Amino acid sequence: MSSPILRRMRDLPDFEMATGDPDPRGWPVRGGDGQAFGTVVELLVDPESRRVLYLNVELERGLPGVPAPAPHTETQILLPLAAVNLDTEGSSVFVTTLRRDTISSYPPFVDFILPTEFESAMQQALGI
Amino acid sequence: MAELRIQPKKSTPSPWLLVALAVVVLAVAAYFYLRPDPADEPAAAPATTAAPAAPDSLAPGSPAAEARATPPASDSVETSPPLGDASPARIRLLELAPQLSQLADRADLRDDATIREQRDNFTSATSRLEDNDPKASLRPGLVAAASLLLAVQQKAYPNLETEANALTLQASQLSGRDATPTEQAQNRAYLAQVASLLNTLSYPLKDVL
Repeated sequence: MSSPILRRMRDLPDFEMATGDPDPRGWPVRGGDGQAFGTVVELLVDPESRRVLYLNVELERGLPGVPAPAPHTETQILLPLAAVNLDTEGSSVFVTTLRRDTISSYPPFVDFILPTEFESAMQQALGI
Repeated sequence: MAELRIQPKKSTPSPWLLVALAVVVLAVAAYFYLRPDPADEPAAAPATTAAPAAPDSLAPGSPAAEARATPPASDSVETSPPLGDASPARIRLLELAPQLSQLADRADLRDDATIREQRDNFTSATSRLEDNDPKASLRPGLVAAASLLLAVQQKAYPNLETEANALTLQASQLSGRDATPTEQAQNRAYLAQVASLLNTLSYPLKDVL
């Protein structure tokens, strides 16, 4: 089975969120303790299956153990949609397996290239 | 476990299409709100009926009247008068039409729903005659004239009930044709009654005994 070709949602101007499905871009991402540690800035989607596979999350600055990003950049991570819960009423994304103080162990997303081992690293960090 | 799906964007109508639609809606609304009041229309009616009214001043049977009744064979459709083949009753009815309309549009009468309805019926019936519609019968116009006068009488002239009812009865007995001498005589007598009652109703109630 070939891996899906991921595209950023903003690069697909002919697509939109399916009717009835929320658009979590701009929503805070909260850990198991309820504390926010980042914000969803982009969605990575598979146009073939027409599904969102990852949330591109921009981490807050100053999180414990997270090195400061390079100038004019932000530290970003990817969260598999399968590992999160969406609170549509509160407009929040919950990742119960992560917290502000453990996010430093999560692999950062440094480029729009997903190395083969990147996904397994994410899964390992999320315990899935 | 969350699941989010995406879908191709639905084609949304062009904003210009919506603007055009709004303009059309506004134009239709403006037409209905700003069109001339039906009370203003009779002003144009005398102009259309003025032509047939003038020949009536000719003496019946005079050469001029006969010449009028027989249009030149070479006349085109545009130049031939619409009432060139009209019967006397038809001409007379169309002569009375502006006066009847003016009566119905009088300030103290025009707001009455029955009068307005009867006026519309009369206008509808006579407009077919004005259009020289060959299938148009005289009868609807003749009956509508009586109904209109009856409505006016019921609204403002209670002492003319007998005359108005008699006119209505007389109208109901007409055949609607104007071919035979008998029919022409009936129509002539009826229209004379219409003209008489119309003349009476054109005076204020206090002046009518």
